[in-house]
Amino acid sequence: MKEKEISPIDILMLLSGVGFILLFIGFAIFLTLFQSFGLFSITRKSAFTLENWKAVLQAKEPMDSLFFSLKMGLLSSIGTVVVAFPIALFFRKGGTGKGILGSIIKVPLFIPALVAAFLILNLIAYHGLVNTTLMLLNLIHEPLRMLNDKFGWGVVFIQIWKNLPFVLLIVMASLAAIRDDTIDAAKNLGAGYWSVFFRMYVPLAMPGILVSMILMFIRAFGDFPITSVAGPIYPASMAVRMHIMATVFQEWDQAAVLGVIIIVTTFMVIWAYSRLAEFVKREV
Amino acid sequence: MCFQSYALFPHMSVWNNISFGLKMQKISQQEQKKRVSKVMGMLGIEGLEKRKPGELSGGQQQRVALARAIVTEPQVLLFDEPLSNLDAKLRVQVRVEIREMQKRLGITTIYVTHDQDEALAISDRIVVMNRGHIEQLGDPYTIYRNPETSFVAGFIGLANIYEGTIVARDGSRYTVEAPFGKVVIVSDGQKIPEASKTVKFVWRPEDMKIYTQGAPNRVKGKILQAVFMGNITDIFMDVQGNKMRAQIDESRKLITGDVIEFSIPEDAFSILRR
Repeated sequence: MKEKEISPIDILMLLSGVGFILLFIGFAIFLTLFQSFGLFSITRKSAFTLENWKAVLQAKEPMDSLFFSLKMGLLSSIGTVVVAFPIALFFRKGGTGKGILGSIIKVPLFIPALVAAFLILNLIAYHGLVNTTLMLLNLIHEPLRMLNDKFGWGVVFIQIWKNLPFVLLIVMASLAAIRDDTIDAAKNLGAGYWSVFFRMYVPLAMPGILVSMILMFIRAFGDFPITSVAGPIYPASMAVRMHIMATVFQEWDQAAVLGVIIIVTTFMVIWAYSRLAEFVKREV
Repeated sequence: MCFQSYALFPHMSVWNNISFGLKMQKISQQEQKKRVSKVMGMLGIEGLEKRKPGELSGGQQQRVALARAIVTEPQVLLFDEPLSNLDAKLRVQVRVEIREMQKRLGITTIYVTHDQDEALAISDRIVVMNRGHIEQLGDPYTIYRNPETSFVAGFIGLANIYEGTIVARDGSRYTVEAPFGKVVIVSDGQKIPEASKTVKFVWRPEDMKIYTQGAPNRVKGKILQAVFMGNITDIFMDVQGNKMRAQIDESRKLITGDVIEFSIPEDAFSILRR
């Protein structure tokens, strides 16, 4: 079939979408990159310099923030998929009450992240509902520190709660694409519950799982509202540090360096995941 | 079990598909290798070990599904319309292969099909089922030549099914008054009701012969449609307001509106239970 040549009208029609991305997102990324090297600086005279990068890379705090954000991104993405997968499997087949249950489970999707963080905060705070209940039941003698904990479990917990429905939608779509007779064939050949789970459901839903993990990682890695409310005092997440750097210390160029690190890390993770997806497709 | 859709595992190679059942049975690696190689050789799919099901043709997928089903050496094998996704030519080829393989392995096999030719060609015994009930059980010859119900008669092969009243009996020969005239039926050991009772009877279109002097059961009809099919001509005709079908090996060209006379051998009829 002969390929159709792209006409000026086609380009014009593409402009509304591609043009927007190029102009606003592309422009913003390049501006951030230039600012990290002192060009188009907001607070200083525009001149090329590596000082901002030196300052950020040599300081302990930004690196701690980077590792903290990586940790949050990784744990949140794995945690959400681990929690979402069995639920998606449960919802794979219709059944009485599953429709209503499915609607309820999607509620966090419509709640803004900051509100979600405050909602969960009431639950897992030092004197929150969970600790009070556990104390009343005599299961613990002093409240557990689940919020603003040093490791960031509170953040991971809220990330999972907030993004569960989002991941659930992707994983459910992947599971829905698995044919029933494939599962029946596996069972017919003697596969038990766990064999079907690990040898059929997991590898067949792997594309959806990897996409969910990429998207979850990006969300959790660059998250601002949840870590600012429920995260540890130190280290701050990359987004929170970037905010502090720009607004408190007025170091907009160093904030731009952090911005570039977030963008580059995100791209690297997407690349690594896509390589992993190719590997899984080839090897599993 | 061999599924209609093959149900191959799309994420696994042909080798892993076939060896899956053996892995589940915790058969040793060495034995797995031996058995998988053997069935692959038997089904002529060597060299496809590393391919994924999506990279195979329909016939190859069918063979892999078959290999996967037999490699575990089950006591009973269930085929659920395994050839329905293949083209007509391949279907005939694969069904012969299945039959040969089943004979060679000696595995009791239940084969579900809606294709009457397939059922007749592949079976030792056929169970004709209708809405979950068994209509008739028998060998292919009996099912085809002596159907017991109108469902079986119509389902396996083509059939002319009529109802008539028994008006006379002479030993095993019965004269039946049918809507298109009187016919003489030889019972051939079948249970036939007493005289004056209504009976349902059937005969096959290919049993109808061009009438010759002295031949029994003469019927005269007008051709509504004659379809030339190479080896036979399929004739749809009207006999005194009744539709009838005949299949004859006729060299002359028959056209709509021609009046033609047939005879039906007395032993071509089967009396139906319902």
